Amino acid sequence: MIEWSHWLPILAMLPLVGGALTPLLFRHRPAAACFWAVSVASVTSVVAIALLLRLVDSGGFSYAVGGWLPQYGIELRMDEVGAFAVPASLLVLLSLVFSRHYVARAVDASRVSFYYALVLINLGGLNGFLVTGDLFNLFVFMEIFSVSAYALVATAREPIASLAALKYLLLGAASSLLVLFSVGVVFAMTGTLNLEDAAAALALSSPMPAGLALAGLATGFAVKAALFPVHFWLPDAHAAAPAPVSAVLSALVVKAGIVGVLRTLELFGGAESLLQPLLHLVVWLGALGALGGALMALVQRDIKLMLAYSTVANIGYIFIGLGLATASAVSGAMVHAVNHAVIKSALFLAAGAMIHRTGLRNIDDLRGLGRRMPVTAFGMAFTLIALSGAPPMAGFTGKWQIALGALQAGHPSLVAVLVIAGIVVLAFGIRVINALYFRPPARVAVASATEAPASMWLPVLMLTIASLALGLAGTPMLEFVGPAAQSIYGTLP
Amino acid sequence: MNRRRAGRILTAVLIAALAVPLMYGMVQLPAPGHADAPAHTNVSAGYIERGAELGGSENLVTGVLLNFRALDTFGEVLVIFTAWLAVAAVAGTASNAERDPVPPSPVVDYVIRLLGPFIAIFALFVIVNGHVLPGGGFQGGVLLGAMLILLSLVMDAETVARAVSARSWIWLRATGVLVFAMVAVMGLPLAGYLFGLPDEPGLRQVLTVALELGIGIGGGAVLAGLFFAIAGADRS
Amino acid sequence: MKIAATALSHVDYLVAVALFLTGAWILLTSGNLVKKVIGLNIMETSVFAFIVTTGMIDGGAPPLVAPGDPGPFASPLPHALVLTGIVVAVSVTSLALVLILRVRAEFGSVELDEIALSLAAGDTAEQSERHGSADD
Repeated sequence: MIEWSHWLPILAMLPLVGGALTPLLFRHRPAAACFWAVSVASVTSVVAIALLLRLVDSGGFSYAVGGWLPQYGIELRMDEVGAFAVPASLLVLLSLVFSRHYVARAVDASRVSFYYALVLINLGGLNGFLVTGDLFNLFVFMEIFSVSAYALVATAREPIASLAALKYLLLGAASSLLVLFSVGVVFAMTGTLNLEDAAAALALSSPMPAGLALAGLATGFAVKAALFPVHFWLPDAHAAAPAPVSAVLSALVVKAGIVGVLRTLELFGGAESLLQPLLHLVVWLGALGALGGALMALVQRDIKLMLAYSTVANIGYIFIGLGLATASAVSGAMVHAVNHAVIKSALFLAAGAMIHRTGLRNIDDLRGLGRRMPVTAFGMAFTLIALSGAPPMAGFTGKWQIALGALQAGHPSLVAVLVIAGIVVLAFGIRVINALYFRPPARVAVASATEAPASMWLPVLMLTIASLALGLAGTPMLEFVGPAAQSIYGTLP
Repeated sequence: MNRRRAGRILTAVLIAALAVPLMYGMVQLPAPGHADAPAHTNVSAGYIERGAELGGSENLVTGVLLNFRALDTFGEVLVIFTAWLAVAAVAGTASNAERDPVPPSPVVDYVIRLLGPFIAIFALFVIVNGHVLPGGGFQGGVLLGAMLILLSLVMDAETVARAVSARSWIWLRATGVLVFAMVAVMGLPLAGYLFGLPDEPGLRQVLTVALELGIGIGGGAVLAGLFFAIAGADRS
Repeated sequence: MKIAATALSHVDYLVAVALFLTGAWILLTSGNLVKKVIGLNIMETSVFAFIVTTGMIDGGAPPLVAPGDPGPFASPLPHALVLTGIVVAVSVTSLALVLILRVRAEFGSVELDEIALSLAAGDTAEQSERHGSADD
């Protein structure tokens, strides 16, 4: 047992130290920096997969960092939520492969090693955040991935990137402060920082200061996850960032906010009277986000802005599922978090490949690109349909389960919301597909474009295949997260 | 600007609406200062009772930082290194040229040059005594950084930045991360767990001081680097 | 009477709340980016003050536990947390300042109103450029 659990801190340390070493070793060798980053991310993925297999094999396990008792030291643990480290590591790996040619043009050569370092550190922060069982440690890892994410947005050359990054930073830092404040409240009430200990103590405590901590944590993580109405930092930041960074941010960094919400729910699982009003609120905010995000995506001209608004919509779906608090809705939401991560990174990478080849980012300008960049365009068309939730692809599982949960919970109106949002998503998907395949090129850059290099289309193709495979694997995934959903909420109907 | 005024009124209402539940909730927390509050009776009591003996530092804050909650401190060292990476990756390509053309008065110049070595010695003292006296790696690192920034004010940021080669600066800035990672891995054979410090007091002492030195030097170099980047003197 | 007594015993927390809201006000209403960062810093300070106060103990000594010293000692944990928090705050602030420098280099201002004007002007310039070279 002991030998296995030692890999748990390594899951986070490996990319963190590997990232810190990148500029030390490869400051003047961008190609070597890329190779190094890809290697580190590969090894991290292997570690993550090994830990996942162990989890499936013999259940969750924990690690006492430094050998101290959980309350006195820091406890790391591997559970079904921590298993998100596997898609996180793999998606970062594919984004790094994609970055090889993309970043060579999008970022100054002297800064390329910093770029790779920041991506690896971002992954390390995410992995640590996913597996920690300690409230303050959660904050520390959150800051690691947040600070690197703010900087990654600003590595883009466009003037607007610095403004978008600053907006993201100010909101992100304020939301982190809410989390830190709540950590302080929980500590003052319970005298411990271990999640399980604190949860046990909070279940017995008076509602008011605990409600303050709950509100702070929920608001803080909702900002990180871009739940409506605190989503407004997201479209600019995700659209302005370099494409592989957009993929990582939309697929993983906003999902960390969701994971934060799950950890918060775990902390207050025993305090049901506090939780109920919050969950109701979250359902309706999620519904507004799903509708509003989809509609905003429909009217965008910039393809990356369209994808960014669609992320707002999908975060809305996930929050509907979390708020409904029925077994199928919660597991549906958790599965959708993974599936959306795969689909959205495929879309952002495909859009990045198109922008890389043509220099154009307006959907109307990309007309006719389907013939010129067949693989990339196919990946984008396929994953756009998957995004709308068409069976049997990956978008379907989660949305279907959330809709089932809405019916169980007695909210048929939410099913209507889901259906309408799905139709809107299909509408903008068809708009892009129509432009790519059924319209003649209007721009010289499109007419003379050729397929992107293999380092770009291969990740897109792999993610496209994954978006089908994960759709087919819907049932095992739901069975896998089921127990976690039960244990986070206590018991679910 | 009517719109701005409406925004201000709305914000004022929002903040007032926030103030009520915040204050109401905060007064229901256990009052600060009482020894029977959970913040003192739970984990803290354990630290105070046996922390010095088990953690190896009479200064319990250092014990918590470097031993009990070492992973947090590793993350902290990493955050500040990341901040420098971020600043180096983002800082404008255009130099922020408008520097103060007026040189500081000779008195200021002389006093800072005179104080420099004393600040450095004090910083070192704070770093290596962090386990018995108030202080430690970060505190000493801040002193080192402040010394470098003070010197940049009277000399020129670029002169100070050039005192060490760009390559060495990067390694200095990463000292904290690298030393911490090495000590963390050594914990596996020595204490049986990653981030563990050995029970043998002499060796534990050596590793503690090594950690503090790494954090102090790395922290000071990063703080100076942040200043250089903002002052436009970072040509790395 | 009872309310006053409770408020008095929790005055440290109430001051932290007041400071927090002051910072939030500056962050939300100021049009100047540097002032927004200052507002954020005031909020951070208030949270640090709050957390460090939870570890305070009346008549307590700093947690430097020499053998034979009976105490009481302040709790060491909040100190360690706040030290970490301060380092994070320094990191975020420095990154924010560098981003502001870049915004200023690109838009010529740190005032949001003026940046919005410059963005609007840039948009029209970009559009006319696009119309001029629609067939490139």
